[in-house]
Amino acid sequence: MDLLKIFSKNNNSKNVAKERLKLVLIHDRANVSPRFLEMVKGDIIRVISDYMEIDEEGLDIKFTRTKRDSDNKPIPALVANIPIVRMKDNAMK
Amino acid sequence: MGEVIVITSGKGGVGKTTTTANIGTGLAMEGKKVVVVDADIGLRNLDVVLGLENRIVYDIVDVVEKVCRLKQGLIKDKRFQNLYLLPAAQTKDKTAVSPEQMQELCEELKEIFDYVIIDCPAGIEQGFQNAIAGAEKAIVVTTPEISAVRDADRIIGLLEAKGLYNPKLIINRIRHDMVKKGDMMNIDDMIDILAIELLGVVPDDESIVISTNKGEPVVTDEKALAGKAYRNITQRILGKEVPLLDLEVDEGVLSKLKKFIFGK
Amino acid sequence: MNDSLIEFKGNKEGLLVHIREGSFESIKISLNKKLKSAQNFFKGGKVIGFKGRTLTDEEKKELKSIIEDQYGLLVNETEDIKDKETNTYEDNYFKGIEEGRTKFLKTTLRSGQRIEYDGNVVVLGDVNPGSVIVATGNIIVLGSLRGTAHAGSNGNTEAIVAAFNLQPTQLRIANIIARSPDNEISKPLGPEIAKINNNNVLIEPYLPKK
Repeated sequence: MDLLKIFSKNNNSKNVAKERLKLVLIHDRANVSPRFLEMVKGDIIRVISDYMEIDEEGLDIKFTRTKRDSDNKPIPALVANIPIVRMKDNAMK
Repeated sequence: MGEVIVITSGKGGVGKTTTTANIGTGLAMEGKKVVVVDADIGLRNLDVVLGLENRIVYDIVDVVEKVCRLKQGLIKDKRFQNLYLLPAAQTKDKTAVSPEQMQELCEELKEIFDYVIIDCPAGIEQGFQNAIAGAEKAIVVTTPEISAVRDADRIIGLLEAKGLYNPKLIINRIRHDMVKKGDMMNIDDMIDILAIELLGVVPDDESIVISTNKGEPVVTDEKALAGKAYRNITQRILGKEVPLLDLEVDEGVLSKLKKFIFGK
Repeated sequence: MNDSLIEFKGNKEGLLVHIREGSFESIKISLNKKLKSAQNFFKGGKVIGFKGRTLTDEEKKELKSIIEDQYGLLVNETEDIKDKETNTYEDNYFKGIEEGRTKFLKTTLRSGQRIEYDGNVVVLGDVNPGSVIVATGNIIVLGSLRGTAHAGSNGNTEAIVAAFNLQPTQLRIANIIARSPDNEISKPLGPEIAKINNNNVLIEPYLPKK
């Protein structure tokens, strides 16, 4: 048995560092403030609410990054997770 | 006509001054005419790292203000006669020099020298703006720490905003034993994030502390691994292709001990 | 509010405080306002004199204490016009160690600090590496001198530098420059005196005559 394994955690700390760093850099590079995100969030809720009832508490919106399809370059992406409670009937009319 | 290279990092304490001293000395060892400029006005350090602190009569502010002639401000290194230091002023602050004056100074220096290496102060304020004003190329120093890499990223952005494109990266103080265990970001991790060209990797080496104590850059130390790393970096600046240092040798005493105890 | 009664003018040596005619109270208010407006800029700066409205000794003392204690500037009057006038009949520099104006500093001089004085300087404390003392007269340090000292800065070759522990980074007397040896040497065991001898700086132990 490799006794060393007992001392070193399975979850490498460098991976934790790398992920945290990536996230923080996305914010740094895009130069977005939490207030900016709140504003985006508010506007999205306002627009979507016309069509559906959403769970505002469960709404999660964040910056992350993804690879561009064309050249695989990392680019910032806005990811929103919006739980829908029910569709609004009147909007369909 | 020489080349003006600024050594910068954003974060303090990652080894800008040590890097400047070693690159400057390394290039001088290769027979180039080199001047290292300490742009960290008010917190002068390059002089002690090079062991020249007792020779300073005039400094960069005196030169810029024309209190003395440029040649009077330049201090000849005690080991290499084609290496010179232009020390920072210690009793002034960053506002004592303007970016325009710095630009003028660099123009003048590159008439005389093959390489003008500028040691940039930490931060992104006026000291940084001054240090990069006259530079044509930039080297960004970072360590494998989350804070240093973040600041490096910011600096790369600021350099590009000032027209200093394609800065090169030096990763300092890497510890092979920790990288192997997955407790330190490795070279690929950092290159992946910063997406700039790697100029070299310098191991965390006791010999740097020892050589700094003595005021002798480690690049002159034939035996030290860090010395070899800086000699390789020098070669790459000169345009030669040198493979990356094998850091495998750089095993800390502790890890050797562990290997011994646990038989692995 | 009218224009400030206080104006700072800088030159290479430091800042000159120009004072317009007005009541002392309003001068103090102006001074406070001015210094507060750019606290970081002024901090660590050096005031080399007062110009304009004449100040009584009491008033000057009060202004000095505001500048030094509240805003962290150093007041070191070298530009005081009146002093210069009264001194014109004197020689340009001191001869030897006879007598003359002397500045006493009861503090440790740290890296980045620079003291310039037209006279002798006596430091009751240490002079750390990176700090500079320039005096037209002699320099005496009752402590360790590890920074740079320049005695006889206007050409007095008879000026001396003495310290309890004389280990300067660099020593200058008149136009002669000496630097500490590159190889570590043994620490001095007692007080020493540096002076010029045959165009060289000579350092010898200080042995009082019996």
